Amino acid sequence: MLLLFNFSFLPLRFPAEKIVELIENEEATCGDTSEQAIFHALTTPLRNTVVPYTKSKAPGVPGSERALHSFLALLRKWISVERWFFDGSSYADAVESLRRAHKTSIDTVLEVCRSHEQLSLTCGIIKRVISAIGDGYKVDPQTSNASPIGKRVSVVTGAESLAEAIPAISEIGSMGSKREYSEVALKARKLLMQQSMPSFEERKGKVLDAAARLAAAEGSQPTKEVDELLANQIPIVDVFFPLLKSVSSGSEKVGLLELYVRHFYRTYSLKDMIRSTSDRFLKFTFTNKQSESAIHSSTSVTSVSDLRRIVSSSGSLSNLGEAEDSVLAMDNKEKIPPQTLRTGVFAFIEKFADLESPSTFTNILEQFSGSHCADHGPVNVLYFAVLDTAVGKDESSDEDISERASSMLANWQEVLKGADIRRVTLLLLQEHDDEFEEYCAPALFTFRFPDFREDSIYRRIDPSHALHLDLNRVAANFRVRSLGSRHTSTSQMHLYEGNPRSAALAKDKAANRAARVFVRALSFVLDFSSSSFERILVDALNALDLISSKNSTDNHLFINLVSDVEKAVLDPVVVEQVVVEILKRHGERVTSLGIVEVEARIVCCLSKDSPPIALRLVASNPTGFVHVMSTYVEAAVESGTERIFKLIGGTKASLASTGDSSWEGLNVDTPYPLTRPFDAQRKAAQRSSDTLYCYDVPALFEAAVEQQWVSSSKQGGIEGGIRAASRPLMVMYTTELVVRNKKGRGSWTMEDYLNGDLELTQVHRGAGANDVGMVAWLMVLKTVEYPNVSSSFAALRVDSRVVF
Amino acid sequence: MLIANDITHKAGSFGTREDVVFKMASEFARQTRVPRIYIAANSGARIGLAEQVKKQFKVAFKDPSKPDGGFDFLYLAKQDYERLNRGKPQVLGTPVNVNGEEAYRITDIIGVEPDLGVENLKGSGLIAGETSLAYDEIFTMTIVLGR
Repeated sequence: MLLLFNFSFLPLRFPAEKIVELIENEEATCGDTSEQAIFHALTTPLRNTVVPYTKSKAPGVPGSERALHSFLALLRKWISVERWFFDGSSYADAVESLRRAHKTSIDTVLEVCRSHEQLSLTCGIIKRVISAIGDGYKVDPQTSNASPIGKRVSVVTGAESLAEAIPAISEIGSMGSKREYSEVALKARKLLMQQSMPSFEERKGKVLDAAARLAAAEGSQPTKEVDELLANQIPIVDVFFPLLKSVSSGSEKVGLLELYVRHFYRTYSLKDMIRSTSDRFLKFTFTNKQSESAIHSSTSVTSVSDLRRIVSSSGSLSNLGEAEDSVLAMDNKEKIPPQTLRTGVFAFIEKFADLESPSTFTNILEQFSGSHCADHGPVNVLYFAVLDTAVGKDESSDEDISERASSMLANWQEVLKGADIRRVTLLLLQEHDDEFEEYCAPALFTFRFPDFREDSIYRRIDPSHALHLDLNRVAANFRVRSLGSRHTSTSQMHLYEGNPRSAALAKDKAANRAARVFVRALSFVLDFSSSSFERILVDALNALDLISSKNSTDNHLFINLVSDVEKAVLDPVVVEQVVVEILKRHGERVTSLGIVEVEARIVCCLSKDSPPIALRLVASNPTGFVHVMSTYVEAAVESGTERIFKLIGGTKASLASTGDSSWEGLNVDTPYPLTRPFDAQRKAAQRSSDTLYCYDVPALFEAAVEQQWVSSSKQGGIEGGIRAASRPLMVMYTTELVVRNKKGRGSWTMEDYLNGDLELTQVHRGAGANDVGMVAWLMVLKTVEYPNVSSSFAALRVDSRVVF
Repeated sequence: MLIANDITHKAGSFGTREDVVFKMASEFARQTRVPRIYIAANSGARIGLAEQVKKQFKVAFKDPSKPDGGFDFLYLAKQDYERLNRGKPQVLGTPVNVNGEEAYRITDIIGVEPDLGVENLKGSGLIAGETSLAYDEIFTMTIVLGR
């Protein structure tokens, strides 16, 4: 069986071509047609056997089809054995069900068990088969040349039915729930992912073309083709470095630098681009865009129309006027006003040691002269791409580079400060050993004003993006380790492993001590719609799926949609609907990846001419049955520049009282807690009585009614059509009924009740605000049977205080 | 109308305040004639502890060296008994002599906290009556969750 891997190196190949040739020659010599037909019929079985050994689309790899067939047979056979064991049941149970299924053929049971016994060995074989198939995809069939990382020409190269391997491989990819299978499943998933990405060569061609066009273009306006490349958000970071090293002309190199800047600085307004091929750098100027506004925290937002009104009357808004770095620079709080012209220089240097030579700096720093403005601290940025040095994949080589660079920069501190430089970023080639990725994103180190030392948490993130990832919220309670990043056409995902800090554990003793994964996704998708949000979510889930360190619970996903704020006009109700709909669609996968909370931040305008605001949607699935969500808007507190979460009334979650609104009133920089609010209650309910926390119950009713609408719409026929058409946007409205003392005293007792001093009031309040162990809600359900709730009842709802 | 126990509040037990919320919500359902759904996940009527008495009481063991041999009665030292009963009486007892010291053998505990004992049962009676009325007048459904 293992011989298959060395198929093409076997000294004696099966002489398939010879046999086919002989048969064809013989057939041609046959005299009359009937004789020929008989000969043909007689030799068909032989021909069928032999032909697969000759077939291949790639020259030089004959018989790849036959090899593929045996690979496929291997994969399928392996799946048919392991499907009894992979799902987490105990060995004894697995054997028991195996025996039940094969009552009459006990030999099969024995064979399956013996095969499973060799699991670690068979996993190794399967992994090599998957690699071989993966390599098969990576070869250009015309030339048979392996691509840069297809280190060998796979035996299945050019097989016609190569695509038929995908179903079996995706089946293996889904088998990773048990530790023994996780590696092989991960490998399968990586292959699938590679297949779904635009090919490396294709992207490389496009990027190179765009860079050449930029290099040739006059002035600072990019050509149509470049605009298109940028608008399609084709990931460029992984091809950036290899291309920078391979292109020979300086102008193309500078073109690449420009492409990088245009790709990453889309959240800024780029002004001028000055290319200097002779001095090997690009100078660019830019300003911060108008940043989102925040409503005052004291303003009440009971509905979306409220929100619209507040935002359009500018008096209640405070423009935060800040941008990059305000969160980052603890000791450097100055903000950069939007109109300030900032200058950036992106240079490439051959050797790491060039950082020490004065000639590197003097020329470049001249570019910053005349842009000095002392009011708000340094504003300029400097990038170096270092061509000769690669960073190893272990942490120590990161530290090494960081140390060396910061000690080199220390000599230039004063000069850098004189040039008003806020940060210096180094880009270096990142080494890696992932066979399914051609290259990975460059290693990035950023050294900030005033002492130009590196903060390792922002390593590998372009500094223009660092702010949007809200990493301080993660790092406050967790020790963070990077698990790498992925760039797709929808977003850029950065993954981190967070280990609870001991200080945080001391405060929350009952917390889960295990490490968890934080996925921070940043997207620049221009049109927010269900399909674009779905793509972003799927990319983020895939990214989490592809990391090898698996944490089964308490993982967190944050999606920040930094769209072009001027253009995005959105209704929070629609946003909420889209997010919840898409989460519902992928709910099972979200849960199986151990994600307990999904947070989405969306910057948008409520109407064409209103200033942009930031919405935050927080979704979780506390019961395991349904995703619930709370929708907040970022509001400014009266004093100073802090922003807090403020619940928007009138959205689905708040009208239905399904969200837990646990972030309400908290600062938007509030660190993620080790234990989420209400998790203690949920656990207590689970532990004491194997039941649910009562505030999670309304969401189940809503889900049940929605489910009823869905299934009745699917019935088909006229009735189903009517149902589908009349399905209400919201199926449930809920208010909590709270007993209060009429005389306004806070607390009450049975005695007050007996005296008739109590009243029942309908209120909207956050979950868990009760001080009595009994909770009541008034729910209006729009069911299939009664889609229109009686008007008297609706009137009752509007009156928020029912006194009797 | 959806009514549910909060199992995380005092172990999901019924005190008189819980009974009042239930009663008023159910009454409201009857008046507005809406279906009443009750999700029951509770631990029954509350059995409270008089914290003041709990801190002070002592045990007259049959054999102090072997507590597992059982005890004769619970008692309070004289000064504790007098302090607890300075205002509204919290505990009743009969005078006894324990190891030559004056003490009071505890016969009744009244306590100062509300919802210690029998009033909870009274409240249970209240909601049983209410449920019975609701059962006659409107649609009711009780779903029992948990153990």
